[in-house]
Amino acid sequence: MQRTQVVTEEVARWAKELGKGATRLAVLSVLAEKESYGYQILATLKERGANSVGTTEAAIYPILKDLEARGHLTSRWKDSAEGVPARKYYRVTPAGTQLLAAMRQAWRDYVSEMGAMMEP
Amino acid sequence: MDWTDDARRLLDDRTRAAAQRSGLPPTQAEDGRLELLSHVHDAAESLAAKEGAHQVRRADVEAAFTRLGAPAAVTATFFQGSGPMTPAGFWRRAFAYGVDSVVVGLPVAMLSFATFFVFAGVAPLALTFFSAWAERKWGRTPGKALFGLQVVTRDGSELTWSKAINRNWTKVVWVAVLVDYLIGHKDAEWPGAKASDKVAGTMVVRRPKATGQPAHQAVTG
Repeated sequence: MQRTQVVTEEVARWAKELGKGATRLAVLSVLAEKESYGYQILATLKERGANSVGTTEAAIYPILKDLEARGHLTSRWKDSAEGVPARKYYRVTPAGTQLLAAMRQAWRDYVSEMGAMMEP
Repeated sequence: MDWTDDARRLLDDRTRAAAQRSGLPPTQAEDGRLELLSHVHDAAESLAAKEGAHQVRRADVEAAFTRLGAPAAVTATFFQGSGPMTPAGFWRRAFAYGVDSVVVGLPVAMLSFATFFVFAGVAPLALTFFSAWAERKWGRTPGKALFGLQVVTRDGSELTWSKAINRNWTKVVWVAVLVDYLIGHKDAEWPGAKASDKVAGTMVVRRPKATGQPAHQAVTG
């Protein structure tokens, strides 16, 4: 029982590390569909059953800011209904679209490679 | 959804405290503050709705902030480039104090000379109140700004007048400042803090540099 618990904890740690890289791809994928703001992006990821992918504010917001700083996203403030604060909407730039395409291909290659390694 | 005044006030106070704690230039800090505000607004409404409530209360806002983590983690998440903050060392603080003493002392000396020394004893008191005012307004005095230091509250709350005065009152006598520091600085939980900082719930940290990299962590040390 103890060994099983240790293995489970190890897997959880490993999956968390794996998820960190995937979160960036997930965020860009969501934004490629439509312009969105942080809270909405998080809600979308959770709705789609994101589990291993980081679905916390601490994961998402720094990624948004980093992608914007690197020119892959751009942002604008949009007024909301009365009594609701303005929200910062992010959308993918042409450079971000290129990055997303490359990341998607890299992901497919990675999955294919791992598949081949695990089932020779 | 309706909000209680208390809930709105709490949301405003906590986001302003987070922005002040970030140490970022005003425009960047305000951008982060507004994004934090809109996020917590949505999160608090979601929490209230789950409870079947028709009004967002203070407890909903508190719960929304609690889910974001410790105040320092909130700053790291929402304020790009805020980076890790380290407690300020003795010499930086001492030099900052020296600069502030000159900044305040010089005009007071000129004033006291012009008024036949009527205001001769005012300088230390002026330094105390000026320091409190500057820290409350900007999070730092001119001396602290010169040496890259900032005053933050440990729990992320607003730096109120009473906190600002509490942490500066020993400046009325320079020996008292030294004793204040000697008593307080060795506490492992409050490294480098004066005893008056502990009373006020504040600490002096080195302002992080804006690195352009994702903000990542809480106060270190």
